[in-house]
Amino acid sequence: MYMRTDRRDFIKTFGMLAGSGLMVSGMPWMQDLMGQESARPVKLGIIGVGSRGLYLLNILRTIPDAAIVAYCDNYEPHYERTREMIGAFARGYYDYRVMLEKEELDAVVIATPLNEHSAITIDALNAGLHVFCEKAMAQTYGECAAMVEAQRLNDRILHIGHQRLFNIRYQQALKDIKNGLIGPVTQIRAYWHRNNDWRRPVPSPELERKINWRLYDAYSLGLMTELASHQVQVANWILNERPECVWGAGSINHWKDGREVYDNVNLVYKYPGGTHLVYDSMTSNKKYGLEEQILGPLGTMELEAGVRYEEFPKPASGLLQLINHLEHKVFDVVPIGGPSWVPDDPSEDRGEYIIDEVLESDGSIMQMEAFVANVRAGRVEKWITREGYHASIAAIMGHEAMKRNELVFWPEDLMIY
Amino acid sequence: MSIFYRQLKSMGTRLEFVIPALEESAGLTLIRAIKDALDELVSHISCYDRDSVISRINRDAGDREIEVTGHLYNLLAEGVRYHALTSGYYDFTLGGWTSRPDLIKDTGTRFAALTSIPFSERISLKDHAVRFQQRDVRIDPGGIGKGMAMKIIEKMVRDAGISRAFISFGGSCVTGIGQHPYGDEWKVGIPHPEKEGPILAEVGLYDRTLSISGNSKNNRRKFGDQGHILNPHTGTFFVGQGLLAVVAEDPVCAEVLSTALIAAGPENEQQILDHFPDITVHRLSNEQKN
Repeated sequence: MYMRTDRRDFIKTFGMLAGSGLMVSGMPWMQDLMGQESARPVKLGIIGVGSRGLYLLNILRTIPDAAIVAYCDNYEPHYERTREMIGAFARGYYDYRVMLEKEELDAVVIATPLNEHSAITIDALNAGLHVFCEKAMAQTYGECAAMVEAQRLNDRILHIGHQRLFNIRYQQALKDIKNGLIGPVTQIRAYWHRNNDWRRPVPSPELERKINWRLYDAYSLGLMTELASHQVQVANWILNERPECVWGAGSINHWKDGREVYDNVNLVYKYPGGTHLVYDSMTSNKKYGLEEQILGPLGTMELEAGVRYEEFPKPASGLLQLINHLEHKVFDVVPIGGPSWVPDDPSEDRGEYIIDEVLESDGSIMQMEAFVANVRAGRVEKWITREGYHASIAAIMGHEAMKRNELVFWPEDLMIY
Repeated sequence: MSIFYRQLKSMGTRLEFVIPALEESAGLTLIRAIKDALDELVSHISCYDRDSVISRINRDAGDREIEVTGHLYNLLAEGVRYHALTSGYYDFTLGGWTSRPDLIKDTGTRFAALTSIPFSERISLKDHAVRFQQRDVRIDPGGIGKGMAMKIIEKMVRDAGISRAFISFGGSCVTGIGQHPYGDEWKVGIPHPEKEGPILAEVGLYDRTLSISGNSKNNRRKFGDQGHILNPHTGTFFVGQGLLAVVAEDPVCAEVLSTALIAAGPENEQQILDHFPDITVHRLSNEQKN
């Protein structure tokens, strides 16, 4: 757990790692974060305190500048759980509109089911509040565009919860790629594999859709909005482009339990210049887990693992040979101290770490820190909104392509941001 | 059996760990602690960091007495001790010329002036305070720094309850802790520095550290044919192309001797080795096993 006591160290470490010009220029919020804490804390309301909302709430509670003064959830057990946690200093609501009306807030954090994101975000922005909204942005192109339009008209902060943007490992990888470490990116492969039914326990049958909203078309686009949107965002970010078009196939081949969303998807996104993102996600096998592989003629980056590989590696350390011996219960001499051994099989190459530091966060902590810092400074960082917007549009495109069994292009008439 | 492997960069070098039967989470905790400890060490002893304690000493100790504590005091004390034990072939006060063969030509007179002063009069270390008696004195810890780092790592690994581990500091300083899981020691082959295939010597490491010095192809590319290892008594640099490997229980000892014995040459080796009855030395020629 990220505690106040180690928060300062965490931010300091992050700041040191980010201490290069390129990285800091990509993260102007770092300046706000490294500044003095404000005398007046940022007053926050949180809307939706299910599992993700609770996680964000716990992060916010560690940020001295953040004061959670209100919470909202229309599901009684979540409401009650939150009241027990923070009821002594925050007021509870069942309806977010009442909360927006009654509370004097600076910002809201939204972690509701996907189909509710758009309306709540737009209402909050129109009420003059800054907004953090979990990914994906929304279910339709129109809803996403309306959210961006509301952000623009009100000139408020709109963060979408793509936490990899705030992960120092990804920042370093982006820098390395821009510096040509792997050459021009010629392909991105990404996948997210799980082996579970993606269900939450339902205390009563009439609550099935409320609790397991991810499984039904009316509330979610399934794997595309819940998982793929993160990785499509990474691809957009790395390529500094949005996809031209996408094609793919999706089906339910394992969890035939009444769900409506696909339990496995396969897609190819085509970007300007002919670079492809080859994507798949499934929920019936977890051997390969999740990864974003960035491939170029000089090397490969595996961003989740935080490892980079050279296509033409220097003679590898004899340590790899030693590991191979140990794995095969072999006792033999290993050459150390010279160019003596080159792995024949590239799969044996364990690569180099993108960053040496082990930071125990996927970026969510730093995104919450950044959001609060942005609100405190009144800094509207359009690029964060743009990343969320483009990722969400691309995720919806993928869904459309599979549903219609057609090649789907970036919507021509969609607002450019 | 699970095998924990991690690498990190420290002192400009890749530091690698192979630890059999260690859980990933425990390994990561250990690595993080080691990284912190080495960062702390480097902040004291790095000559490349203008703000390190040693850089401040190098700037100011010619003018006044500087208080030294902790890592740096230990380093200086070890430096003084090894100077005596190696008949002066390990001399960390000549940092201005270490690895700088290009400088000797132009500054030979100053070098001669400095080395003509007895070591004990060049640097004064007493009551946790250091003072240079001559302005040209510059501390370059050289091998002691890496050896101290390995010593710290070794202790932290053992303190974590680990009885078997193999640790490599850039391949030139390698420690084997305990037994190999399937043998009685960690067997290391010292490869030919410029050719793939030949192994020049094999050594066994059971609670021992191997340190290798010499003029590799990379060194020659960087420093030219004259090499980079300074003989403090003559102001000349080692021009041979061989390697020298030392195996010792103490990583600091292994690191210091692998350089000092090259500087001393075979003819002066024995007077040094008389002080170190428990170490093993391999002088390896590039011409072997070609």
